[in-house]
Amino acid sequence: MLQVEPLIKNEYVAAGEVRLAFNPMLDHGEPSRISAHAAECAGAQSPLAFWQMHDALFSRQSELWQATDETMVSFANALGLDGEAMRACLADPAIADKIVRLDQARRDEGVRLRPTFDLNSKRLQGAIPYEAFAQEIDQALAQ
Amino acid sequence: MNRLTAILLVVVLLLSAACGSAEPETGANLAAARTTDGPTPPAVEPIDTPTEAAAEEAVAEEAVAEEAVAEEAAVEPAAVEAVEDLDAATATVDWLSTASIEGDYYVLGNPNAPVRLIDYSDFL
Repeated sequence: MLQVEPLIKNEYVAAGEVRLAFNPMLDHGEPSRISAHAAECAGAQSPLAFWQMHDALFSRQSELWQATDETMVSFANALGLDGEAMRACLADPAIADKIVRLDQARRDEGVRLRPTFDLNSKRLQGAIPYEAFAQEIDQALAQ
Repeated sequence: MNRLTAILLVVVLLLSAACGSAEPETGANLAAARTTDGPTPPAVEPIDTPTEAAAEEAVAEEAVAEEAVAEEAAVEPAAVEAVEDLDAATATVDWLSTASIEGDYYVLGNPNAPVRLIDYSDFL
């Protein structure tokens, strides 16, 4: 999704035809968990901040393997978010529970392969070229 | 005596001719002065003829009629403008800077978009 997502954003999300959601998968233990937790905490400050943190986490992916709470606080500060609110939220067990719940739900739905997409309830798996993605979206729009 | 009388008559005749050649010139000067002095009378406005009055009235009526037509025409363009403004407003929304909450998800884009794309992925 790293390469296709910008194209889908610029073509379909910008046009108001597609709304994009992100369901975290915790396949790499603590680094995956703390990253997803930080994104949720950013969303708690504003829905758009979730996506700002989402983009920052993917662009600084190499820093996530050794990330700590302070790493995420620095990410938040760099985005202009409230660093102290981020620090407090990272300790919020409700957010931690939500992350685990979402991850478990996708496992229960049989989502194992990364990336996997749900396009109006139609499952698409694997690294799909943008052209194929666009075709799927166009078909969904035509329905 | 006769010679003396003749001489006296000649003198009288000569004197009479000299007095008759000197005439006064004041009458012509007075006439010339009267043509340049005094105030200029005001110009008299032309009186409208019945034809001109009717023409003016017709022009006024036409102006009123044109104004009425313009007012009627203004209503329709306003309605069109309202639709165009709505379309323009929708078109100018920056959906890439718009996010909302949908259940457990933070959704990016138009919350009413007909297609929802969920990305199941790991940040690593």
